[in-house]
Amino acid sequence: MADLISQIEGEIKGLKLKAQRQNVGTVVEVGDGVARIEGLSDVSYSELLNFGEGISGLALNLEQYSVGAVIFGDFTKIKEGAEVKTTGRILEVPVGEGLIGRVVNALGEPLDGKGAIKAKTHYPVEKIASGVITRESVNTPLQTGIKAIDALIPIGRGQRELIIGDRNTGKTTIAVDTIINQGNPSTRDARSGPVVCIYVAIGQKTSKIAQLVAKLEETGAMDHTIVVVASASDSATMQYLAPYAGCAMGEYFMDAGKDALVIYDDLSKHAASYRQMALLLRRPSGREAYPGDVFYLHSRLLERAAKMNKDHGGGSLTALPIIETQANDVSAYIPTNVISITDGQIYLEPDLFFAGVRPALNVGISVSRVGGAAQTKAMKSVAGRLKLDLAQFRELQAFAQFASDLDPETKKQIERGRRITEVLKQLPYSPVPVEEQVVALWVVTNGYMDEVEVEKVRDFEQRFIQAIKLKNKKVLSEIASKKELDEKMIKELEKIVKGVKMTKSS
Amino acid sequence: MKKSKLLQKTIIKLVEASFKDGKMLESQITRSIKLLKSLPKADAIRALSEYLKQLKRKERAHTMVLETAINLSPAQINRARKIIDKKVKITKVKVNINPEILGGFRLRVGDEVWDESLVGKLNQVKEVVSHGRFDQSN
Repeated sequence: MADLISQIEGEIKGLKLKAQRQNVGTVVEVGDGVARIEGLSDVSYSELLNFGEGISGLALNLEQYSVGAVIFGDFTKIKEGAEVKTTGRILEVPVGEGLIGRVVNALGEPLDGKGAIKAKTHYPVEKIASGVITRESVNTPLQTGIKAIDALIPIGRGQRELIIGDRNTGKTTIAVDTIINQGNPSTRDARSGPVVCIYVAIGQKTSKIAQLVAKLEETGAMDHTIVVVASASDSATMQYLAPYAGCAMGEYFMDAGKDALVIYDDLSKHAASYRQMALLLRRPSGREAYPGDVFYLHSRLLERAAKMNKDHGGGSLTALPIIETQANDVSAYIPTNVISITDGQIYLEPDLFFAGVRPALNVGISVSRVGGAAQTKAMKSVAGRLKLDLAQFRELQAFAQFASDLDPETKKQIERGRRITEVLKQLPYSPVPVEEQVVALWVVTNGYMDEVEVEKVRDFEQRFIQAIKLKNKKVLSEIASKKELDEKMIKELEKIVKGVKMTKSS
Repeated sequence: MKKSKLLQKTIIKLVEASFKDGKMLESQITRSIKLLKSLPKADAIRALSEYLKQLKRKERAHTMVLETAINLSPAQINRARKIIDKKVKITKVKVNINPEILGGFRLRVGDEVWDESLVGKLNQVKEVVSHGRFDQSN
């Protein structure tokens, strides 16, 4: 206690108090989290306003004589005629290591009851994205632990890859799997540890968020994760701010030369909350009642994801925005906007989901425009064949539905395709390490599963991996460290796969 | 849309003409009100309300409001007015006695407030102790 008092005394002693010059205004209208203020002639766009009683706001509409502002906190406490002051600051959130493992709101305030956030640094919520000189092209893979993604739609650190699909198609599961996989020893970077993940929940049910946090805690992924929550019960302002706050938290790690991953779940709701704010601020509305700058809303957010070059720390911020479509309509306004901003998309299809293909990835429509450069040699060597086999399978599958008599070559290709599809299936929350992915895909693309029944493919895959772990674990660790598949390893794998086949037949 | 913009511009011009050296010109104001009253009824109501609002706003920009905890002598008030007069032409002075500011004074001209009150200083201390920084950019 005495220490605290002496500390406070010390702080006050060094304080030079002087007359304050303030620019003030008067609230003329307040409601729905939005206030109209007369005065504030010196206010800047996006400046933080002080409404008194611990309530703050953000100046968003600067008009000739009045200012439109959004309010953080309980707007019912603000009365007409109340005095509002400018602060000369823009909105900032706490950033740093102290946030890891915590659940916070869009202002960086704790929601998990684990005490105050210990953060020495604050970052502005809105920031101009880093320029071209400071960046380098994507060159390191970000392993999601999902076979179909890591092989066919690889994501690189610093990339922006959209996850798009209808409701209940497994979009969040992909994001959560990716977070869990960052704790995987083979994914961890020896230099900087695991990729720090920031999960931003926008407009979701609190129960769903609680389930997700529980899952992350259960799998130990909270040790490298920050959860930013703006739930459905939070104001549109908080929902609007949450992704920018999450991005600022990620940027701190990027600036420190580390790798960070930020997931925006989801940007459709973010756009809807911005629309609500814009309509309340009486901004002119455009298509689907969204304001004219809804594209800039997302482009300025996603542009902040980057891979910095060595001279600028070499850190990265990868963004995985999520978009929920209505009735598979990817050509709607917000989906097309975000598709055009990102470096590729992972498209999830309800038909595949209900057919039991989970993750329900449509590998035909899904693309990754820059991630290929980041893929490891080992994965590239098996993924090339996989892509070809799958493309042929898709083409022949439709044709085979009508034709009863098929030549043996076509039949073989269809059967191979079925087995590949089976191998690419994966249970939720069980990401696979990259070396296991490589051997599983190697065994199926090289035809070693052609004689295994489709229903038993996954069982065979499991037995094969178990056999490698039992007989020659070194192969897996060598693939993980060397990141390539050489002749010696292939020979070893061939030997093991033959052994597994023998066990099966005996 | 065009019509309302034109009306807005006219009102701004009328307000500018209603002041000379920061002082209101009654004759000009009467003339402006007569002119606006001659407009169609709906436009006239809107225009008059906007005109009065802007008149008040303009007047406020030339009014000095001095808030103190105790009574000030006319000489003290005059001294404060002279200092402000160098920056903005002051035509009206209002003095409010507010014991809640505890000591010192608060001076307001238009949207600008100079806070030299004891409450203001205590708030600065509070801000530094709780957040480690000032709330205001001085």
